[in-house]
Amino acid sequence: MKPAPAFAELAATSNFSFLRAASHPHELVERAAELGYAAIGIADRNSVAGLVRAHVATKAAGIRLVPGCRLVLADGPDVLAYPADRAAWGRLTRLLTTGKRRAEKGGCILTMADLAMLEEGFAGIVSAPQISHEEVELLSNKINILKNIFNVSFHVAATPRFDGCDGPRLARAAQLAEACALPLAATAEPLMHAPGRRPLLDVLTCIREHCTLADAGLRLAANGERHLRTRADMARLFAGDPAALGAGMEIAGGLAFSLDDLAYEYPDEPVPAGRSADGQLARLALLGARARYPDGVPDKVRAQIGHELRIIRELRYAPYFLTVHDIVGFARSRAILCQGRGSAANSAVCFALGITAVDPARSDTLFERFVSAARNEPPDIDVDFEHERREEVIQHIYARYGRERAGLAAAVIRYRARSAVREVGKVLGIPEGTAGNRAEKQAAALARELIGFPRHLSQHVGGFVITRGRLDEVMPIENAAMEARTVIEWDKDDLDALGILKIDVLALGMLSCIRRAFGLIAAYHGRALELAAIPAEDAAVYEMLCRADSVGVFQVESRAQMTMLPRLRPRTFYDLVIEVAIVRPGPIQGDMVHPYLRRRSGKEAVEFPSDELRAVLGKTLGVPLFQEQAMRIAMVAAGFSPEDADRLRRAMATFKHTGQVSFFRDKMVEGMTARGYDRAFAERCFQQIEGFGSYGFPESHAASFALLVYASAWIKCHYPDVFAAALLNSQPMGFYAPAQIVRDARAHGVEVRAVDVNASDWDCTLEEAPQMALAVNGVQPKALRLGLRQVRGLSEADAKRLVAARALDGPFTDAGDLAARTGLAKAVLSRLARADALASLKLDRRPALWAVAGLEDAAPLPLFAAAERSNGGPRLDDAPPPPLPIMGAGEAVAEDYRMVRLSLRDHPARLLRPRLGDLGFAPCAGMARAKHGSWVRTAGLVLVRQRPGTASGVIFMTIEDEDAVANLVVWPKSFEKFRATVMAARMVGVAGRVEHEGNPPHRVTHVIAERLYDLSDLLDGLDEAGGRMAVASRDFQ
Amino acid sequence: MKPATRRVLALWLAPAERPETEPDLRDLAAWCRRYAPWTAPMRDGAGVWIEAGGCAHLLGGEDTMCRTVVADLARLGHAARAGLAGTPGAAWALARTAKTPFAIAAPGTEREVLAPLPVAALRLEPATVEGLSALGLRRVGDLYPLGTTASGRAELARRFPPLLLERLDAALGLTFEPISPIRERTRHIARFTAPEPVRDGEAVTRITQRLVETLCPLLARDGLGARRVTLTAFRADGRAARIDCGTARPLAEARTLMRLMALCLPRLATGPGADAFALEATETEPLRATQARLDGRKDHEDDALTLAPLVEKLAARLGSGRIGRLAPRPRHLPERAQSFVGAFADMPDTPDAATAARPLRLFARPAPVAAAATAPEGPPAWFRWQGAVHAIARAEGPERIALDWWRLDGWQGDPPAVPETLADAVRDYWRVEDARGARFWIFRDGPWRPDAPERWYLHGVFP
Repeated sequence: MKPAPAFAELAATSNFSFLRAASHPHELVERAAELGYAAIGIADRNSVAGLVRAHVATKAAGIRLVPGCRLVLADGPDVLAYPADRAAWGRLTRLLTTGKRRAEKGGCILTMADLAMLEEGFAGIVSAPQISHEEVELLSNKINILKNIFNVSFHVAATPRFDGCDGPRLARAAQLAEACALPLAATAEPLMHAPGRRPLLDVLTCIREHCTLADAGLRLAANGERHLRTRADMARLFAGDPAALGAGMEIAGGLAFSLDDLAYEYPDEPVPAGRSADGQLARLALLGARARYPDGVPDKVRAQIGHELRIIRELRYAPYFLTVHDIVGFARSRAILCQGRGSAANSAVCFALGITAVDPARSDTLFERFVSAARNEPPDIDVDFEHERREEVIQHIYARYGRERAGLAAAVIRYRARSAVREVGKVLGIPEGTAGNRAEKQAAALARELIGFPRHLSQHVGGFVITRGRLDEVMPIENAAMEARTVIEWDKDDLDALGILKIDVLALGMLSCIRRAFGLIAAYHGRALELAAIPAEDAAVYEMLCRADSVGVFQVESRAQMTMLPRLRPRTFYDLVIEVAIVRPGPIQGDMVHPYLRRRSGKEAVEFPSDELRAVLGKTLGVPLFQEQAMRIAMVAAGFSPEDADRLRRAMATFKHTGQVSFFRDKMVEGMTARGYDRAFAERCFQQIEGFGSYGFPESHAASFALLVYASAWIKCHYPDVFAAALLNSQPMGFYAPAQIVRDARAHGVEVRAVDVNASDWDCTLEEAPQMALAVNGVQPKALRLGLRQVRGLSEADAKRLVAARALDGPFTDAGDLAARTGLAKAVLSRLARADALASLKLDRRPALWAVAGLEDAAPLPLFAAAERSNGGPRLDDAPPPPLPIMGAGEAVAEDYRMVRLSLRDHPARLLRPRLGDLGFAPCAGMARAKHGSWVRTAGLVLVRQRPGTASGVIFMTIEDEDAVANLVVWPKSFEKFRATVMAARMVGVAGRVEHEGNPPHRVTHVIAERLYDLSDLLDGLDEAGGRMAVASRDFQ
Repeated sequence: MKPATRRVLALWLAPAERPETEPDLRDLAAWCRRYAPWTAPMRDGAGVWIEAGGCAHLLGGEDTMCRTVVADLARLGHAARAGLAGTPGAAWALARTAKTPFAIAAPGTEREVLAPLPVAALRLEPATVEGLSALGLRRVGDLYPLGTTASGRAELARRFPPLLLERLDAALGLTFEPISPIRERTRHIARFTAPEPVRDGEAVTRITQRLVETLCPLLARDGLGARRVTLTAFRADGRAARIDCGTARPLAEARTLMRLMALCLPRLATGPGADAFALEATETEPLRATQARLDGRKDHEDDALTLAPLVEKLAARLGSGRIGRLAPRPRHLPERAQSFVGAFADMPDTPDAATAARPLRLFARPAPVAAAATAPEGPPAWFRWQGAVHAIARAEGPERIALDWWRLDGWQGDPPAVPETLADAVRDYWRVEDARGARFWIFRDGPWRPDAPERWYLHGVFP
């Protein structure tokens, strides 16, 4: 048989034309290579978002990519444009930027006239879906206009559609081409890499059109012919027109552009004139190191810095470090707390520059985890900033580098298992229908295909791209959903693949909290502190953590961490690093937690298979817990080079390319057995490494976080008053609601005072407290005054007006005075009254509300009001108190929760105690004393519900009553029975068995729930007003 | 004048049982006049007022009256509760809050009876109820200390809309709350009473003619046309016979309506004879005036208007469910691309499915034909159907139509072969012309495969 003629398909559409095509870019590339195409061109609708992925795939597939874009015009046929060189690419991305900037987020508006921006240097294909007789003339006019606007060689797409009219249509296309003196180009305009994607394409169409398959009708394609066809097929279809068949190859041959041409250039602002970037970096690193080590830079660190600077020079990364230094320097100059996280903490240079805080003298850094010559991609420096002030940093970056040079990276939002199943179910009509088994299987198969499909582009949490030249000539920029933000079209992986710098400017609530705490300590306790000045290795802090007394402490406040703390019993900073790293899916799934704990408690001997591994695993008692250790094992035990080890880590992180993982498994296991290790041990090692490929922490990252764990724990330990105030003022953040933070503060001897118009600021503040017999860790805590921010629905502006009025003329004397001097609306004053914030005016809730309701609607001008007061004018509150019924205790607590999210008055469980007693529910405090395995009944408000991915469907609930907290474990079989209660109850009763681990005071107690009772109605019954008790729980975060 | 012994009965209907429209509530109020002459629908749509003063003893006392009213309404399908008191406010409050089917406040006891009831029972705005609740004023009795002193009343008036005190005073009987009686809704109905029962068809037709002639001017006066008329015959045996007649457009013209009625009349079962007749336009629509064009013909709705009388006649004779037409349906598969819709239904607005032409006559079942393609994926050179061989002179295609892949499981189509794979679930349609110029629509079932026999079907013929 005659070999099929050569062919190149240029007009493929990938699934980055969201919901319009049914194949990933790499699938198109791989299939085109399989079919022996000469080249594959991908042109998505007004987008180049999928091109980098396609570009990466071509390298493995060995086929050429012709990057392009389908320009969908408002006033003309689609124009597929393929840039011929780097400059033309820049004009294309600028055109797309223009179109996107004028549209709403996600849209792009382009007209024929805009194509003038492209000037020249393109190949173009005009594609019109249907050409009727009448349209030939119209289209030929438009094409002639296009030819004038846009100086390129056009082809007219000839696309068989199998709609019964192919013959006449192709004839008309030829007629059109002739009328415009343009050649034809044969294409299938594929939307799929293979015909088997037709069902998925139909599903995508239905998702786009918001309809079901049954109702979709003509919105679906009549057939599934728009796929990559075999060359023989194309040759047969275009047997009569070999010129059209060869046009794709001819076009591709004339284009030289590849995405590899997008050489990235660092911005040069941070390099002072007259200096080289490397020289400047070396100078700053030296100066920084001297400041970090006032007693002299240790030799180890000096050597490490030298080593790093050499690699950085070799790879020309100096401008990157300088740029990050520049941004961190800005934050410092504005007193914005910041700290590097992630693998950058492996770098002594980053430590010296003040970007990271993990002392390389004290830890075992692995620079290759951070920068690797083999990786040929830029290092990733992630810096956390105070979450409330990060925007200042972002706007600084825009201001310094300009909007045309800086943009946020995109995040590709993809279909995940849950959304895919939901969407496919909707389209197939499965929930309502009487779907048989086969239909469900079909749906499951489709959902599997849909998982991983991009849905839309969003913005990355903080990844900034900064370029030396115009960013919009490298990639299109669009408006973000958030004001004053611009986002590029490519995500993190795309940028990595093209070697483009990205700086992660991240937000961390705990940094805001710590900054506030430092401010409060300085203001109320007269002690100036900063992160680096917190006393190290304080035994009281560790003792507190060992008791799992960690509400509010960074990272270790979750239920899982609280369970781990008394078992691990951290005594040194390094223990905290382990604590942070060990409660992670990686170590848990790799089954490293229990061996580590056994060895730590001396129940198991600490052994090392070899001395070289003792050096790697010594500090974690022979159990690998960190990514760096995995890499080091591969290096020392299996003979991997540092670069290979890094490739191994990356292969594990991208779990999809399973082929690579097995390659590394062989390499590692063979390497280790060749060096005399037991094969079974080698296999186990690899499995462990596999376990935390993507879910383990690097040690450097754990160490960065552990610093904040220690800092926040230290503040909580010594200044519980300050800690609670800082946490409340930084809400929303962390794991616990204000009610639990306040409860915890009171448990630590802090007096908490209610919100009051005559005492509260917007933020929570501290006040002098009566001398206490027992000071906490040597410091006498102040009283915590709740801020007006706790009042639900009160705006900051209104609160500040109130505070300003009070500061001006002293305390308010009565409701009329409050209204007159603040000028607040009656609705706002009513809110304050309902929050019981007028107590200092001798007005309880109802009388306060009565007084506020009686005020004139428009507050009089402050001047007249003052005059009236001094004249002894009429005063509302001279009247005798109104005959209003007294509010009951239950309703008062309910109002507290409703209006300020917590109650200082009483705990609902205490009010319900007699009823709970009648129902046989004992206080939570009794659980710790109950015998192991004994049957108990208890009840409380639900604080937290969690279903960790690692716990195979087990649900953890934390409940509290007036005195204590109890931890419930709900196994799947109980969950099935009591699903509604577990998911929705605000108060639960539970019957089950007690399980203890360890001994007091380091004992962990659980109640294994056998039966659950929804007591929410009982709770709501407390409120005589008939409302809901607004207790908040954190559910499944 | 304030009657000394005013007694008001409030009938409160559970929301689910309330009639959909206000006029219906008026009907209900009118119906209630059997208990007392003065009744009214509640303005808030909650139920019906009955001024019961001086009427209860006629019905066996207040207790019996309440019980009777509630039971009668239950028979009509309304879940109602009754409250009886000296003021409308108190009666409403009792009806609304009663745990029993009815509650009665003895004369002069309104104050005690109201005290434990929630303030919402005073028919206040929700915002007022909420505001009172926030102050702890939740029962009517909580309001007495404030509502009965001058200073207290002034304080309440500062804080709440005047309706609060108005309602409180009225409920307690301190002020008089009037109840305005109903007015009848306009109905378009013509009645005729015969001196003796009529059975004879012709007589019935004559009576109907008179009724139509009475009804049509009533409709025309209001600018309405009938979309549905109901003829009721009250029979000598106490039963009523009814026929319903639908129209394709609003009608107010006696001749047309009568023609239509005449077709329906045979369905009227007069049995032993009927002595009273009523013709009511039960559904009406504004009349559309039609403009005559200069050429003397009517405007754009030509077809619909000229067809309408025929459709009406056929529907009246055969039943409207039996008259229908084909409407295009947005489906690719030819046999699914149309549906049967009722004669009076609006034509769905559907774009034409295919770009390629469709045969005027589509076979209900595709007919298998013997044929073979000459080239890969190509049309056949000939086909044999009903014994005759058609040599194909010209062919246009293929039009490839894929079967609904989500329906392949248990495929019940024609041809019946269940496609094994997705790739099998396609048809290639060709428009072919034989040597004599006859044109056909044929398709190959399944994809062309070099090694497999082809299955060809004839699915329609072109004129």
